[in-house]
Amino acid sequence: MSVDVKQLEVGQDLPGLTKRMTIEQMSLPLWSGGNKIHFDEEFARAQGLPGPIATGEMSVAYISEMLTRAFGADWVRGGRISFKFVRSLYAGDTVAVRGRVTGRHPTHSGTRFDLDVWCENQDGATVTAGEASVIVTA
Amino acid sequence: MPDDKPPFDWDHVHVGQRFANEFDLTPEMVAEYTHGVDDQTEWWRGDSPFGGPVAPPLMLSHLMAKVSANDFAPTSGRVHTSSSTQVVEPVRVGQRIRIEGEITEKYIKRGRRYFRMTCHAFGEAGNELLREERESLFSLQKVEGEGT
Repeated sequence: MSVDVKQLEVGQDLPGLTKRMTIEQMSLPLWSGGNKIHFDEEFARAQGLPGPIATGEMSVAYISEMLTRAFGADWVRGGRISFKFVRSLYAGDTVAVRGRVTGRHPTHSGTRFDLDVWCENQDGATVTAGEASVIVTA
Repeated sequence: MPDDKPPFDWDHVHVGQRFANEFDLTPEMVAEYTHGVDDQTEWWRGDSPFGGPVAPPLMLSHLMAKVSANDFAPTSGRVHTSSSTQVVEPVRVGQRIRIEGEITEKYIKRGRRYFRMTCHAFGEAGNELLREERESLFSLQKVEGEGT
């Protein structure tokens, strides 16, 4: 499941993901939390939006899946991430999920990888941007 | 019986206010979460390096928004804007989760009303699973005459 971290260098991109956002997924009770801004067209327009917006945490879940594929158990047991939602995602959007190594540092418990992580919409605009770190213990 | 809880808004939320909520983290919740983001990772529903299914590591981050659900009426319009999150332990599916949160800041920026909150999630043994600082908007709508 994990990338061979011995070959992961600063400046290298992680294997990315492509996702497609649907109104059915945005409307799931666990994801919307009942917040009409995520599924109710009329309510969203009253907020000045062109339509319902996905909760940004869906894009962070995409990033987490990419990090799980790359770093496996080390991400699941102790990863860190900071992120900011820059633009909204809408039903029908295609999302490119990306990560790039920005640092590689020895620590007492393993090698810490620092990464830029982000999601782009189909127009190439960043919708979510952040930084993550993972200590690889193997 | 009418719900007399206040809405989650600027007037009813104050700095220092604390919340707590508990729920069972069920396989059905994990399935709904992963279906929503097309995550087919086997670890979330079957065998994993941790001895059974675990939740996606940031699932509890998403569920932090429910921390104040016992104290307020359902309120639409809140928008999460940023977070800083640390996974402390893998989250075993099937256990009772306790989430605690505290409002740490409330402010107006560019005419919009924000709040910050610190949250912690604990497993049924009292072990910390995840911690987070998060910033959210009460609403996208601007407040006339306030902020810069």
